[in-house]
Amino acid sequence: MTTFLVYSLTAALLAGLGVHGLITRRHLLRQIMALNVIAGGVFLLLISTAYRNQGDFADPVPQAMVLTGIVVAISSTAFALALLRRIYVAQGQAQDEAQDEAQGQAQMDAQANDVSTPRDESTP
Amino acid sequence: MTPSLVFDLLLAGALLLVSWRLLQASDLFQATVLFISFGLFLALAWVRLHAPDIALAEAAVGAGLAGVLLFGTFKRIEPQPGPSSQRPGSGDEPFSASSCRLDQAAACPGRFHYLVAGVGAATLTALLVLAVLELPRHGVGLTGIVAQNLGSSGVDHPVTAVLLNFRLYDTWLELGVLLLALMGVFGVRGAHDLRGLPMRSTASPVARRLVGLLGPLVVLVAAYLLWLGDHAPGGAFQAGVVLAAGLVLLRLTGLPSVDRLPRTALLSCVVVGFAAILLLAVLTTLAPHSFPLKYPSAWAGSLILALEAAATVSIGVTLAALVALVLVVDDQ
Repeated sequence: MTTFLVYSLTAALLAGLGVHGLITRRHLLRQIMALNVIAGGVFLLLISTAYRNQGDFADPVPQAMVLTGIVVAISSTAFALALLRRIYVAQGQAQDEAQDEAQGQAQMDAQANDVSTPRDESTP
Repeated sequence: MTPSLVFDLLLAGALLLVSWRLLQASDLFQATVLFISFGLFLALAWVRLHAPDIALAEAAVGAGLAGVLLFGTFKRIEPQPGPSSQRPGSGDEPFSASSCRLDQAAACPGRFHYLVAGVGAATLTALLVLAVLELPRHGVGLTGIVAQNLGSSGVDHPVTAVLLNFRLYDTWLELGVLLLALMGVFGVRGAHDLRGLPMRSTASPVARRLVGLLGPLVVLVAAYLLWLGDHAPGGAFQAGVVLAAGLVLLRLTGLPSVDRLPRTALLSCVVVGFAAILLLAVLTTLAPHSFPLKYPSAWAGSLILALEAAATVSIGVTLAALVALVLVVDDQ
């Protein structure tokens, strides 16, 4: 059963790679991809055991579990991506507000300087 | 060394290489493309491992829907070029605003962080490899039990028998997860209807015409897969994801799709799969001399086909609605 060994060991390595990526990569899109790589590893392990348990056909129970798992994985990915978009929009707004505040502060400083120093002709 | 073993080793190597590259690539676009090819390699592995049912679903979901979702999100969160943004390609992450959880420079991991992550992931991998090596080389699993009871299940394909008869509970709860995901995305987007979504700019007339021709073909393929599940690889899941892919294509080219459905029609399509199994559960619980979710075996064949049809509609419409909601163009 070398085929079983090849694919189940690959599955273990894939899960490890995914966990490593999930911890080290801080970008949310990459973390979602890393989660999907882990899911791929888990599915591969299940299906390689299904291949090992072969009678007249490969074991259908792990296959059914992986089929449901694939649909659950894509729906959770979609939910995660929706959250990511929301975070992105919220952070953009926060950044804009911070920029507005900084600009307002700069203008006030400029006005304060105007009182004491004559206006520079190059600035509008 | 037989040719099939060479193929297995090449495929395993390709899977590992692609997943490593997609997690380490400095360019997000490159990572997204690699992710799609990862899904295609996985689909090849499923075929090699005698699981054509999963290969069908994976090719449509892992490479198709996931690719559309990731590409769409990647394009939306790509910062507009401005005076403050860095030149793309400089540094580890290509875009200044999207590095380190979109833009928090303080949250960037240090060297110690990488070390701990490496040791932790290596330990986990080693434990998993040991567990795999300890597994008996020849197991039987549940194959024999399924083969014995296949005659009374109402279908001839073992995977369909497990999904729709022996472990109907799993399928039911999975439809519940889909429903929850859609509710969650509706909540996050602050929307309660698909009809108000802004329309994408219409694609070229050639693409529109082509997708218009593909529409009926997708419905035909989905119906064929659904009917095929009775005795061959196919069934509700594969038909559902094919239907979802078709609906997403229609939506992306600006043709009428899930976003034209009235709210009640959309919600009925989304809940019909879950509701059908719930109805069966209630009826079988109330009926005398019957266990919950256990079919009378005389009706099993037609009941399974009806439940599968309902599940196909639910899976297809829910996934298409999820993609439409995630990929909507923001006004901001």
